[in-house]
Amino acid sequence: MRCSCEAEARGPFGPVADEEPLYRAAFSPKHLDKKGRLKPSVFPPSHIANKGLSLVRTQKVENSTLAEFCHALSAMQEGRQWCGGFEFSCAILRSIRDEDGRLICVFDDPTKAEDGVPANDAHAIAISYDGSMSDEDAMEVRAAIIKNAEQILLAK
Amino acid sequence: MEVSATTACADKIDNWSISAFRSAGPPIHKPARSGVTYFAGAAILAATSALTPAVHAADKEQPIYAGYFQDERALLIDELRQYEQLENGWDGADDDIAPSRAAIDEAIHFVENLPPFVDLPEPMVSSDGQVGFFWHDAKIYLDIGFRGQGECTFFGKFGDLKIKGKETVNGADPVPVSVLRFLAKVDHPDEVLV
Repeated sequence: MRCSCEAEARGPFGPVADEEPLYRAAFSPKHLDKKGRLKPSVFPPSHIANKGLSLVRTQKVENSTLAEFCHALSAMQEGRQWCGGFEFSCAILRSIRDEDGRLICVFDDPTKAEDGVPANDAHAIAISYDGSMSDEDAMEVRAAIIKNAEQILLAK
Repeated sequence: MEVSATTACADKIDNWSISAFRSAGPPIHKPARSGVTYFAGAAILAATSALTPAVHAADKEQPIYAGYFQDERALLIDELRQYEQLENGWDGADDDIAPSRAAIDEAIHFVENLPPFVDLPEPMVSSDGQVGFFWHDAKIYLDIGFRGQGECTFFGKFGDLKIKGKETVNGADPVPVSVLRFLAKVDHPDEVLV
């Protein structure tokens, strides 16, 4: 059975539920188009295929905590700038299938504090079920995400 | 106060917070100008030419709209050339990959050879080294990527029409025929393509 790893709880929040919103942060202005909107490049094909797409479970953290986390990640490296991100339902990823079943697995993946970045128990990973997916298949996945996602940009 | 993310990124980021602004409705990436504007611009230039032939006399060796197309395309190519400045780790992670010169060249060759009837796309670069383009509005989504390996991958949807695959690109064939046919269909949905 594909994606059986999802049922295993790795952190205090447990497995990611289908209805949970997930957030993908963008950390470079290169991901903004001329009108300040996010580009599909926020979702690199190889991350979907085999590296894992880093996500945050927004129902499990306060907005202020998420902002603190993203600011800390920005501060880690010169040139990194948090610009906003996409929010979408976990169900979008889990509904992507071929004739044999699910293509994308989503599981909880809490991270430890490191280099000034606080621990994040609300971290999750999305990745192809077998860690192998063609670029064109991954591009179809990101199209499905973008079609159903909401852009959350930054405001003062 | 709402501000654009572009502004936010250009400023000091310490005082910014998430979620105070959400975009209204689904995200729409529309190219900077539409095909209508394209041809309206050409028509305006042509009309101006008729009224003031002396001004345009030097341009009579080429189509009257050629400069208009070239300027838009040149800006896009310039943006792609800026990707050459990226280094590994450019997107904030140690294992981020800078795009190769070959990938950027393939993308430039692609856009140089898009026919004039096609709206120019938005360029993009991913942290895994892929350089590409996308078109996205209420009707069309098309995403094309290059890795400097002599091929491009793509996925697109336009109503019930779907395109997906990988094709060789080279000096002789910088734009896959299937992609051209898809774009032509988008531009002229009622025509039968052979």
